Amino acid sequence: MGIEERPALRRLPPGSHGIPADLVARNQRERLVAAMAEECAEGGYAEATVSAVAKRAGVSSLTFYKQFAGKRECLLAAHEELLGRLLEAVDRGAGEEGGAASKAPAALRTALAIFAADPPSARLLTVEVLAAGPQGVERHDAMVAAFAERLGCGWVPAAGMLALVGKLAVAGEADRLPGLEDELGGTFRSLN
Amino acid sequence: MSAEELGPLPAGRHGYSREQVAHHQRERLIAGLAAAVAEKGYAATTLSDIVRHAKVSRRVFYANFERKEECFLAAFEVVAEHLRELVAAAAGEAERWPAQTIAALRAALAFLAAEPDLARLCLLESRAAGPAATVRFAEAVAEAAPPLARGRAERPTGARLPASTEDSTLGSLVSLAQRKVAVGEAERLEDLLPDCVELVLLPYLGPAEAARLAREAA
Repeated sequence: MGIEERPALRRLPPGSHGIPADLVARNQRERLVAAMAEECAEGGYAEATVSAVAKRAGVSSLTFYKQFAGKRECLLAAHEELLGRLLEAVDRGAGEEGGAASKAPAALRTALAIFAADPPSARLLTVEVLAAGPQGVERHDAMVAAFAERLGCGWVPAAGMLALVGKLAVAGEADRLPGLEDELGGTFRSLN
Repeated sequence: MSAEELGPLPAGRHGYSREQVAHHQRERLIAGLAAAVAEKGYAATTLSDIVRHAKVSRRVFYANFERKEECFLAAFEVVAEHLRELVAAAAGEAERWPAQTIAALRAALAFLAAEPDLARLCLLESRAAGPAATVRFAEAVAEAAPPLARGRAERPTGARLPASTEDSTLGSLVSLAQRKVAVGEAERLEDLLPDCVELVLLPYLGPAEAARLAREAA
């Protein structure tokens, strides 16, 4: 259920394995994104270094720089990719039928389950991205807007929900999130 | 903000004179860090920038702080303490909880709008300043939860509000403010007052009363 699709992120065997170069590059990028989230979860974005992220991803720093101009660009790209995967899963979880109002409970449940299953990604999405400065805030706000739409609530309660996710992820209590579903759902209803 | 000033503290508010304060190297370093961070952001700020702004030597820096992060945390603390005092003083002027809450919000936004560099330091740079700053930021925000939770007594249904109400409310508040700072409009943080009043009072007073007080606060 994790955002990172970990099994698919295993390191490719080195050498001439006959795997097309663009597939290798995509795999490396995904591993770097996952490594960035894990590195940030350990010591925060400020402490994360390019070499540590590359090492965790099992690639060289040179490979890192082929994918990203620097640490900040990697963080912003990681946010974009993780959010894209999260929203896809949320939309799948919410199903095809009905309008925003009837989809909202399933969307919230799916999002909370994914955040709980993948605390490093939850933390990167809601907390660490803000370390990228104004562009990070912009990405964060785009996420708030995406959730407001899917949860059928205003910007303010969506921002509050994501702040709560961040707080619990930083405190190492992301596993409590699914238990907050009723509470959060109730909050959105009362705020609308 | 010059390094001669004690960054966050407007002269006269804190009980000691600017001259007295300037003699304290630690405080000069804190102001130096605030000035350097305002100039180039936390990540790009070097020790040389801090000591240059503070007009002290590197040796003095290391006598006071082990590293940049520690100096940043000290600066954050100075601003947080000042905000705490301003907010408490403003809330103390009002009698009932809604008016106290509005006064506290007004005071905090006014201070941050008047000190945009410090607003940026607290709301944006603190997120980039390492794990300890992340934790401190969260703790500082959480300090506002108990006074907010007193709003639960305002309505018979208040006790039934979800336990996470204060956390989500404060999270929304921070998101709104940081958005303003990120687009370079920290000076206009006070424009957010009606929105902030409404979002903070809503769970406790209900939509109609929250909207009425928000209009009144504008």
